[in-house]
Amino acid sequence: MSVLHEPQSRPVTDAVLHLDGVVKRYRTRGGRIVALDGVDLSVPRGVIQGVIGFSGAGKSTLVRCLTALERPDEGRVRIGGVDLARLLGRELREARRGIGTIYQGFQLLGSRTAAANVALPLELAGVGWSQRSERALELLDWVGLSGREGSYPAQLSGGQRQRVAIARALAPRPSVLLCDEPMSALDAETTSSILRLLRRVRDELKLTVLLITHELPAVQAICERVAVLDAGKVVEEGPTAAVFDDPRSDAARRLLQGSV
Amino acid sequence: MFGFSEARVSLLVNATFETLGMVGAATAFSVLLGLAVGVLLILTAPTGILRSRPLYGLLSPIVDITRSVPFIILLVAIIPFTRWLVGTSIGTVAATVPLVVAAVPFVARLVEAALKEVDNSVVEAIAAMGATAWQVVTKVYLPEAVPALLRAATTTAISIVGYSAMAGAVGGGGLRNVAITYGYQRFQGDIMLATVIILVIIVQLIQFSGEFLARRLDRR
Repeated sequence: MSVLHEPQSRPVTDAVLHLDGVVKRYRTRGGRIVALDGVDLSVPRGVIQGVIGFSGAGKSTLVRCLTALERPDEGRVRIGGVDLARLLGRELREARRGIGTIYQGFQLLGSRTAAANVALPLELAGVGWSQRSERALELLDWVGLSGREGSYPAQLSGGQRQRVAIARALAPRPSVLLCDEPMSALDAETTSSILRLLRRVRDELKLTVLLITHELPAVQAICERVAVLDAGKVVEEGPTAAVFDDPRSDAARRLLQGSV
Repeated sequence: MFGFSEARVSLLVNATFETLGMVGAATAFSVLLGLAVGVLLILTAPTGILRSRPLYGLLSPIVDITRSVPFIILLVAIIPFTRWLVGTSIGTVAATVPLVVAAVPFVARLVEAALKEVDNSVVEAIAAMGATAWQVVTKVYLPEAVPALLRAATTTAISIVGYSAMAGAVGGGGLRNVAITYGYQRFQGDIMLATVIILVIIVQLIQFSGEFLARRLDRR
């Protein structure tokens, strides 16, 4: 049961990210778990889309399907018109460069400097040394870390590490930036500076940003649209203000109550 | 020192070089082969990026079975293989073969343990970036685990020093040979003591340099 606040007038082709009846089941010792139970979601180009939900709602599985670390059992995950679930080998690796991801735990390589971390996706793609170092320095400068290119992650603060991770995600010029609980390890002040950076990613670089989180203030601060995930389904989707002011689904109401 | 004659000194010096050569060669080969097997184990394990039940199910028991065979038995049991590989089953070169065979599964498990310390979520993040399995190994697993791998190599080299003494049973030569032939059988206690001191120094040097390098290269 999906409650839409406004009919989606945009044609599907305009959606840069398109999830179509995505189902993912896991087999565990306790039995079968349906982590995603038919997720439908279209994210238009150049939008900052939030996805909120309680833990266990399926957010992590959604991230794993979007990064093609898991293959959906049913449905399609399309990024820029390409169905990730159908690709293998070289084609999959190339498609993966179309989506940059940042994580709660930053996931930087401790053995590499900030610049070498940022250059890594380009190195994987076979870009030459001088070209990728140039791009790494340019990106580190863009995220506000000029002068720190030689620092190792252990020498940087949490906020600085997340900036390095953002620069790394942007290095191969993706069309989508996927953010998996990117502020959960950061304090309030750092969080707002990272949120400002995510807004610049959309405004200056024209990327589509998908922010998956349980932190409602962050969604309220930067997302134009928000989807509510509950029990593996999108139960509500619409402009953030509308959903926050007048939640229609039970899950959204409970989420909003919890945050007040 | 000890008032040793020139002949006895050169005996000890030669034996020391024999032991060092045997340990060095056996360590180099077993670290290389063990690294390859360890990487295969981590990649094909149920949580690995190339998870493969048949391959892991085959490799893992082979490693464990080889590890549980006592070295002195393995030494004799693989004599036909040793002879096929190096043309003889006696001498320092021949002794290196069983040393490597025994050490590879040991190194493989040490390497697997070292690579397990690399955060799996980081490995997955890099795979999600479009890395091939080979790139995950060369750009994530190995560089991130350098200190742990160096410590594994150190442990291996020291174990091989110990095992190399047993390799004397097939005419492996080296310090063990001198210790048994002169020290034990001819009751030359001073020779025995000298070989023990040399062995202690070798082990200390390996331990010290391994630890020094591991610390030097640790970025955490």
